[in-house]
Amino acid sequence: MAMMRYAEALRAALREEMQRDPSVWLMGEDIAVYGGVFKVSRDLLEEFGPERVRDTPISEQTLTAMAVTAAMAGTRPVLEIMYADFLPLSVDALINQASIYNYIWNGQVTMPFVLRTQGGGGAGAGAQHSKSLDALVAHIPGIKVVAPATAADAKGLLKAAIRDDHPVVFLEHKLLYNTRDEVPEGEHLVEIGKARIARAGTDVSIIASSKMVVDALKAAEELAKEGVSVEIVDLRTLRPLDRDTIRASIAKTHHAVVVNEGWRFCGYAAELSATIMECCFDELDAPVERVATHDIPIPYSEPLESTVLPDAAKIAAAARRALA
Amino acid sequence: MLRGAGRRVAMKNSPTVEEQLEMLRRMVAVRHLEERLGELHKAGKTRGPIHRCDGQEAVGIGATAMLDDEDLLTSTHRGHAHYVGKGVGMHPIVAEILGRATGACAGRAGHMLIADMQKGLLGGNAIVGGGIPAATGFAVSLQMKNRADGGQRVAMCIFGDGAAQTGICHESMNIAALWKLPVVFVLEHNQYGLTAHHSTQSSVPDLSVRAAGYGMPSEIVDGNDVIAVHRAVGTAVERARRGEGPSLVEAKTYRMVGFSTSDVGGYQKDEDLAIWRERDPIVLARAMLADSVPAERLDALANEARAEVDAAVERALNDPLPTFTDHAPSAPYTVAGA
Amino acid sequence: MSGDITLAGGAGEYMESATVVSWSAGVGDPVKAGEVVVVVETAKAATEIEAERDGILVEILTPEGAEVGIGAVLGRIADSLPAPAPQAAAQLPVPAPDMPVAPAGPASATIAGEAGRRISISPLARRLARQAGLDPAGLTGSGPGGRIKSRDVERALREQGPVPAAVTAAPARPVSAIPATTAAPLVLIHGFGANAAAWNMLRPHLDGGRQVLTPELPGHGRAAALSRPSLDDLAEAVLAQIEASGARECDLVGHSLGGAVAAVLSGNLSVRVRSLTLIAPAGLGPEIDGAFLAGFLAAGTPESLQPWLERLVGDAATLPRGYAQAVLRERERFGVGAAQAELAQSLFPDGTQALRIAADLERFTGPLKVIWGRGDRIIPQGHQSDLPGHAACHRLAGTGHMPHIEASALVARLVMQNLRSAEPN
Repeated sequence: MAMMRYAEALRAALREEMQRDPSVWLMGEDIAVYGGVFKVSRDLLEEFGPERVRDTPISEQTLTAMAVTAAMAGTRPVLEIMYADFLPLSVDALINQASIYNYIWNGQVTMPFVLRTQGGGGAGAGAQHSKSLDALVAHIPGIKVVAPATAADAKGLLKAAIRDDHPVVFLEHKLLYNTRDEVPEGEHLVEIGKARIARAGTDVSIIASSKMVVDALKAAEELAKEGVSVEIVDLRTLRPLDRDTIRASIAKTHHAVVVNEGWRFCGYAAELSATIMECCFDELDAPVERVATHDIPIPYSEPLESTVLPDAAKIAAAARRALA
Repeated sequence: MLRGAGRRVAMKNSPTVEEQLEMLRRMVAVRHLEERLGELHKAGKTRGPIHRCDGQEAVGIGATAMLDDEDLLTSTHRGHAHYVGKGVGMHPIVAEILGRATGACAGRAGHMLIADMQKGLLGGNAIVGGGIPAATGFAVSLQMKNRADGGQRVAMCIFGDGAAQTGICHESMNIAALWKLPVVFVLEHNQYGLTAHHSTQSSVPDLSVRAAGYGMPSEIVDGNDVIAVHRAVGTAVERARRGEGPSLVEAKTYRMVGFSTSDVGGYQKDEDLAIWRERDPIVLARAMLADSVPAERLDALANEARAEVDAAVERALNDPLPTFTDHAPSAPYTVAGA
Repeated sequence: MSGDITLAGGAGEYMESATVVSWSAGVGDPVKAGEVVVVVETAKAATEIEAERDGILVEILTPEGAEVGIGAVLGRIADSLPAPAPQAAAQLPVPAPDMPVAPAGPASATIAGEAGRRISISPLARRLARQAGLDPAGLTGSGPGGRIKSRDVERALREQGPVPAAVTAAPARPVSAIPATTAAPLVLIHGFGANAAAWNMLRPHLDGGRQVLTPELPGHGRAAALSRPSLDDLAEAVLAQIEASGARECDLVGHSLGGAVAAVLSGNLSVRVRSLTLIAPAGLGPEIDGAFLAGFLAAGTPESLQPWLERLVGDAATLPRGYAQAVLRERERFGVGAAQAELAQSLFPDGTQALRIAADLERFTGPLKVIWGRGDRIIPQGHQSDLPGHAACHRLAGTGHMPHIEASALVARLVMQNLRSAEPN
C-alpha cells in the first residue's frame, strides 16, 4: 500500500497496463507532451513513445468513433475526453456505434476501449466545464460506466476497464484528483459492477458515487453526532448497477437517500430511486429522498454555484427528512 | 465522359481479363439481387426500407476487388455491392435481409448493417458519415499492427456525397492525413443525398478538391467504369500499403433508383436518367470484354451469377426466423435493467 | 379465466413463509400444467411449484428474492395476456429475470381505513402490520403527515403484549386477519410430531370467510410442553387456545392424535362443538405402527428419518421436499424432541394406543365425518369398524396417513360439507 493521489493512482493504472499489454495505447487532447490538463498521463509519452501516447486534434466526435473501431481491430485504446461537458460530442459514437455492434453483429466483434473523462462542479469552471452527465452515458445499453470515489478504486477500476472487452466510460471528478488514500501497489483490480460499503450503519442508506461519496461521508459524520447511524453505498459502477448491495443495505436500514451530482430531472438519482422502488418497496419505511443538482446551468460565481450543487449539508438534510 | 476503351492495356493497376470477368460476375449478381429484393419488398418479405444500388455497382465491386480479408471495409446504408465485393456469401446476405436466423448477423442487423468479421466487412452503417471515422479508427490499429509484424493491411471507407458534408468527414480526413494512416476514402458520388441533389449540398461540384486541404492525394474517376475504379482505387490502396498515408478517390456515378423503397421519386430528371441508363456499368464492363471473351461465355457467366442469387433467395425464404435470446452473458446487455 | 399460482399449491408442511428463488417462466411465456413455474425456498428446502393448468403466465406478483407468506398468490396463469387498458399501460407487468415487480399487495403506501379514510403508511410498516395481524386503522402514525412507520407498528406490538401461540403459529396469515362471518371458528388440530403448518396445504382449499384457528398440541411447534400429558391434558390445552379466541362454538377437524383430541373436546361444556371431522384418528383401536413411532423419535439425521416419513404417505413422492430437515430443525429450534418422546411414552406405550375415543364419538350428536387413507400404514383403517352408526366414513384411494396433505382439495371439500351440515337452518 502507498498513499497516493487519485490522479497518481490513475497514472499507475495506465502505466501498469501499458507495460503489461503492448496493445494498450492512449489518445486525447494535450495528453502526451503536456501530460494531460489534470496531469494524469504525465511522463507516459517519454516511457511509451508517440505511437502509444498520442496528442490529438480537437475532434471528440471522430476520436470516440475511432476508439470504437480501433478496439474492434485489435488494439485497446484509452481515449481521454478532457471534460465530461464534451461527452455530447461522443454520444453519437457511443449510442449509434459502440452500443450496437457486439449485439447486432451477433458477437462477431468486441470493443475493448475506455473513454476517460472528468466532470463535476465546485471549481468555478462555469456552465460548460462543470457538469456531471452520468445519466447521459449510463442510459446506453452495451456501455459500462464506472465512477470511482477513491484513489484505490480509481486504480483498480481503470485496470479492470482496460482489460474489459466491452466499452467502458470512466468518469472521474476534477475535485478528486488531489484527494489521497491508500492504494495497493501492483496488481490491484476492482470488479466492474460491484458497489462497496463506504461506511456501515443501521439507520439510513445513502447511495452515491464519485465525489458525492466524499460529501456523504461528511454528512454521515454530522449525523453521527445526532445519533443517526448512516450506511453509505459507494456504487463505484453506475452501469451495470449492483442491485444486490443496494437491496441488502436498504433491507437493513429501511431508509434511502440517493445522491448524484447530475441534474435532478431524469437524472441518475432518478434511476436509483426507481430501482429501489422496484426491488425494495416493501422494505421502505419512508419515501426515497433524492439529492441532485438543480435543473439549471451551473453558474460561475461561488454563492451561485454552491446553491445549485449537492453537498454534505444537503445530503444530511435529506437523511433527516427520510428519518422524520 | 471517359469510355475506357483501350485503357486496360498496360496501365498501372489494370485488372487482368480473369479479374474483369469476376468483377462482371459480381456486378451482375448485385444487380439481380437488387431486382429480387425489389420484388421481395413489394411482396412484403422484407422489413423496413431497402436501399438499392442499381447503376452504382462498378464502384463497390471495382473498389474492393483488390482487398484481402484482413483489410477492413466500412460501408453505407446502400452497401450491397460493397458486401458482395468484399466477399461475403450471397446466402448470408440474403438471409440477413430476410431476417432469418441463418443471416450474416442472425437477423439482428438487417440490410443496412451487415458485417462479416471473417471477410473484413465491418460493416454497413446507416448513420450517414459514420463509416468515415470508423475506417479511420481501424487504420490506427492496422498501422500499429503493420509496424509490429510488417503487414500491409489497409482500411477502406466507401461513403457518399451526402456523408462528405458531415463534420466527422473533415475530422477524420484531417487525422488520417496527420497520422499517415493506411486508409483509402472512396467517395461513391451518386449525385443525391436522399432527395437532395449535390448542388444543393456543396459549394463545389468536385468534392475531392477538399483532399488538398489535408495534403492528401485525390483522383476523380468514372464510377460507372469498373476498370477505372479498380485502377484508381488500386493505386490508393498500394500507397496506403506502403505506409504513405490516405488517399481520396471520387467515383462519379448516378443513383438509378429512389433513395429507398419508400421513396416516391419525382426529383430525378428523366433526361439524366436516360443518359446514365445508356452508361449502365454492367453494359460497359461487358463491352470492354467483348474483344477478348466470347459472348457465350459472358452469357453463361451472367446466368450463373443470377442463378446464385435465385438459389440464395429460395434457400433463405425457407430458413427459420430467429427467436429472441438474451445476448452472450459476457456482453453488457440486459433485457431490462442495467 | 385465470388461475392463481399459490405458495400452498405446491409447498410443503412445516412452512410459515418462503422466499421466491426463481421464476422458470417470464410474463407472456406459455406454461403447461405440471411444468415447474417457480421455485421457492423455505427456511428448510427449495420447492418447485408447478402450473396447475395450461396457459400463459400473465402476471408475476412476487419477485425473485421476495419473502411471501403461506397462501400468497405468486402469479397468475390465464389463457391470454390481458389487453392493456390505455390508462394502465405503464403498469403492464413485463418483469425480466432481474427486474422484480412490486410484491403482492396494495401497491400504494396508502390504504383505505375502515371509514374510507386514507391511511398513510410506509410499505415496511404495512408489511409488519399485516404479519402481526394488526389493523393499520388502529395505529397512530408518527411520520411526516401522520404516516405510519415501522416504529409505530413496533410500539403498538409492545403495548399489545404477547400474542397466543395459536395466533402466531402462521404469521403470514394471522387468524385475526381473516374476517369472521360466523362466530364459530374452524379449528384444525394437527397430529403427533407435526405442528400448525401441517394445515398449510389444506387451508387454501377451504372457503374463505371463516375464521380458522390452528392451535398446537403441547410439546409441538411453539406450544409449551406438558410433563407426561394424558389425552385429556392435551384437550384442555387446546381448549384453552380456542377459548382465548372468544369463540362460544366451533367446528373441529383433527388429524391422528389431533383427531382423538377433537373427539375428547366434542363433549366439552365451554365451547360448543358443532361438527367433527376426523382424519385417520387415533383412539379407535390398540394398533399403531410402533416401529414408526420409535424410528421417528430416534432418528437424528435426515437419512435415518426419511424412511419413516415415507411411511406416512401412500406415495413417497408426495412428501414435501425437505420435510425431514424441517422436522429435525424444529426439534432443534424448539426442543420439542424430548417432549414428544415423553408424550409418546404416555399415550402410545409399547407401540399400543392407550387411548379410547369410541365413547366420546358415541355421545356426539352433530355431523361426524371420518376420513381415512386406504394406504394408511400408521393406524390401520380397519379401526373404522368401531365407529358409531351416525359417522360418515370416507376411504381415500392412493393416500396414506396424511390425506389432508396427499389429497388436500378433496379433504377440504369433505370438511366444508360437514361444516355446512352443521349450519342452523
